[in-house]
Amino acid sequence: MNWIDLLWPMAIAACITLGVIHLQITMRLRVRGRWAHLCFALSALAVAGIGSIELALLRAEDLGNYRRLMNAAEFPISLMMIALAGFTWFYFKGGRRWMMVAVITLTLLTLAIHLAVDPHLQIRHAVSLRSAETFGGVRFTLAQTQNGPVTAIEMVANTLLIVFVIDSSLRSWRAGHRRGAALVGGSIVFFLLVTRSYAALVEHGVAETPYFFIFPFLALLLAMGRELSLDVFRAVRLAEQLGESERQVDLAARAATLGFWRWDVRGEELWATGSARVLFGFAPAEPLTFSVFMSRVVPEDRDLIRGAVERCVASGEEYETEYRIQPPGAPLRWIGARGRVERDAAGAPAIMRGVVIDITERRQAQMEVDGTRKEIAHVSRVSMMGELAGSLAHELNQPLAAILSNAQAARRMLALPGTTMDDLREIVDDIIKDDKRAGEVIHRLRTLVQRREHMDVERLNLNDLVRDVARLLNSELVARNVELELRLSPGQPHVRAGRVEIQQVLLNLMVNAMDAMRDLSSERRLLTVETSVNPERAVVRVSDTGPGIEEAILPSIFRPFFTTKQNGLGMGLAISRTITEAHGGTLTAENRTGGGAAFTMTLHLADEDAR
Amino acid sequence: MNGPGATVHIVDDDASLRKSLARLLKTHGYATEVFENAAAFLAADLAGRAGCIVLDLHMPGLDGLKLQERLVAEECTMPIIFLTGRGDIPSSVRAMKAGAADFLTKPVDEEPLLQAIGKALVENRRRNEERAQVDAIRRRVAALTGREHEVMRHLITGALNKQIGSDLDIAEKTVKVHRGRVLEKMGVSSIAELVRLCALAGVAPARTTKVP
Repeated sequence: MNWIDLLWPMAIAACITLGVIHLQITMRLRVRGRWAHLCFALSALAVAGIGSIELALLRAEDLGNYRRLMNAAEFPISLMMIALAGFTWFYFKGGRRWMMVAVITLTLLTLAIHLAVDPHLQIRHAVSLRSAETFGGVRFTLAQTQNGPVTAIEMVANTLLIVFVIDSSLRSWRAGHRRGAALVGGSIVFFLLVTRSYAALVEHGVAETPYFFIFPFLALLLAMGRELSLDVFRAVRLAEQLGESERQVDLAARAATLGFWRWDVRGEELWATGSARVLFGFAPAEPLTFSVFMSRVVPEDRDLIRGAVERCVASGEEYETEYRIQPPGAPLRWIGARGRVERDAAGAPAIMRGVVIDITERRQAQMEVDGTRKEIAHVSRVSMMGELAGSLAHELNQPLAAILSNAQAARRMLALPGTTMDDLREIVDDIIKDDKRAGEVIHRLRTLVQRREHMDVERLNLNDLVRDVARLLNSELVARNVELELRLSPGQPHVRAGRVEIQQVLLNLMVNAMDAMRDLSSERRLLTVETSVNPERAVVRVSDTGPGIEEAILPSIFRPFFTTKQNGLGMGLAISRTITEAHGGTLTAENRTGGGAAFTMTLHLADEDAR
Repeated sequence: MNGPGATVHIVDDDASLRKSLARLLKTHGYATEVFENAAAFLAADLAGRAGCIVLDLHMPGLDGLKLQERLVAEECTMPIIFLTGRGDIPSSVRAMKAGAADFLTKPVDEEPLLQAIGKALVENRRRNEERAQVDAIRRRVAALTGREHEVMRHLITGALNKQIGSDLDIAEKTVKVHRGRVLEKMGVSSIAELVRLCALAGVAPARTTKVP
């Protein structure tokens, strides 16, 4: 056992180890620059091959064997050249393509010619063998070689490789990656020159030593590998940091019941974080698609989502929607979702990315508030009806009185001679008419006084609403000696609204107007209700001829519990404004120039009427 | 039971109610006339007519109480029966004080309505007769000369001819002549009767300066 027997296998083993590690990195890690790792692995394996053959050469005893080994060595040498060129290309991320192609082509050409030509024309043709002695008295086989014409081509290929490496390193250096450029480029060039020169010295008999081919290359591999490993280390560190920050984000997301999602707009595939999966009741590994996600959404809300997604994809506006989901075996949940679309280089929508959050509690709280608001609105309606009770009774009394008199007239006529069936039919018709009228009064009252769970939004003619309320207030107007003027728009403004809610607002405004004119002499009490259509809105204006609203309190009149009436609750205007705003409308007050106050309510026109 | 030409006037803003009331009253043999508001009734100028008024208390424009005021001022002899939808006590008190014949609540039953109308028409007849009487007296008063009128105002104070003569600065004999003419023109035979007619016609007794 001498040092040659010890060192060479060690170096070979080191090369193989390095090669295998980087081969693994190439295959396992989806890191950027993995092709550089592949080239590195190939060059390491090539160097191992070169080292093995060199070891065999040192022990070769006959010329034929030596020549065969020399021939075989050309394969790993070529592979190493090509791998180095490739490594340079990938490590420095590009360069002069033609140079790389030329290096590879020339190397392959060299190999092909070398194999094709007569042995004595080959690159390094061993002419004779002799035994030499080197450090430590170790004996080894050394060949006298002669260079064939193919050597010239090989030299060109080698030189081109060096030029290519230098050129690529310089580019990288200029681009700011100085350290990598100097270390990798420098060492490749340095070690290529060293091995070439030393091989020449050995071949020309100047140095009586083995080629020591493997050692400079091992050093080169270590230099290159160090840089590559740094990248891997950096990637691992980044991955660790990423993992850490992902854990933190996930923790925060779970705490906020926030989930992240990403959807490939062109495909079906949907990706979601663990917290989003928990929210929707998906198993952690369950494959997700858009349709699987939609199956969790309650059917009524699916179109809502589709619409929002389409708008987002089409216009690029933010995706924002609230919908209900039904996770398996869990109660209904409200989800708030936001996101945006990301486009590819061509500007086509590629992915949508966003968050989902559990808003069930907020929705519930909101529903409770809505419930309370409805309750207050109901109480206020009922109390207003209470104030109007006398008039409403009168309103009901009129048809009842007519019915009674008609019925008594009929009874009387039955006993009188000359009464015809036509006379009686006429009376019965009138009785039916008045009965219906009484029924309508009761119906109007009942709808206003009933406790209601939901607002039934329907398409309503604002003029009809005003007329309805005017009819309801008819007796009150007469009793209070107030003249009512209706100026209804010929445009028949239609709105989408809750009938009872808008009637309540109108009732409130009209009763307020009557109250405001209480101290006026009766011929000056004029209540005007006007409807009109401006391009986008339906407008109702209720004005009186009273003293108007003091400027100082004008800003406060819509506040809850604000009242100027002795027995007022101060809820009427507050509720009226809440109702109007719940319809997306406005309710404002002003003093008229000619005296008196005016309240203006605007509502969105029903879609089909909006111009 | 009702005089010739007695009409029940119905004033109510509710068409249906007007029609039904008129229809009911017709079956009881009453002539009716309907008005949809106070102004229409006033415009018809019916103050001296025979009949009564069935009047809705609450009406737009001029309301029932206001119409009553106007009719009282015009010395309308038709009694007013108020109809109201609500038991409004202050209004009913006002109406009764102003001389309303009755105050009925809607829906009004046949019987009380007919009773009220019956009573009102009797009252109307009485008022009309009284009015006719007073008009006759006033016509007679108007036929007196100035001096005779003067003498009459003294006569109804119960003064003697002599006193009257002294008060008016005329001879007792002249007073006697005037007295005979007054009694003749007024169609009475005694001073007591003259006093009653003057009270009805609203002729005030003269204020005498000299007490007997």
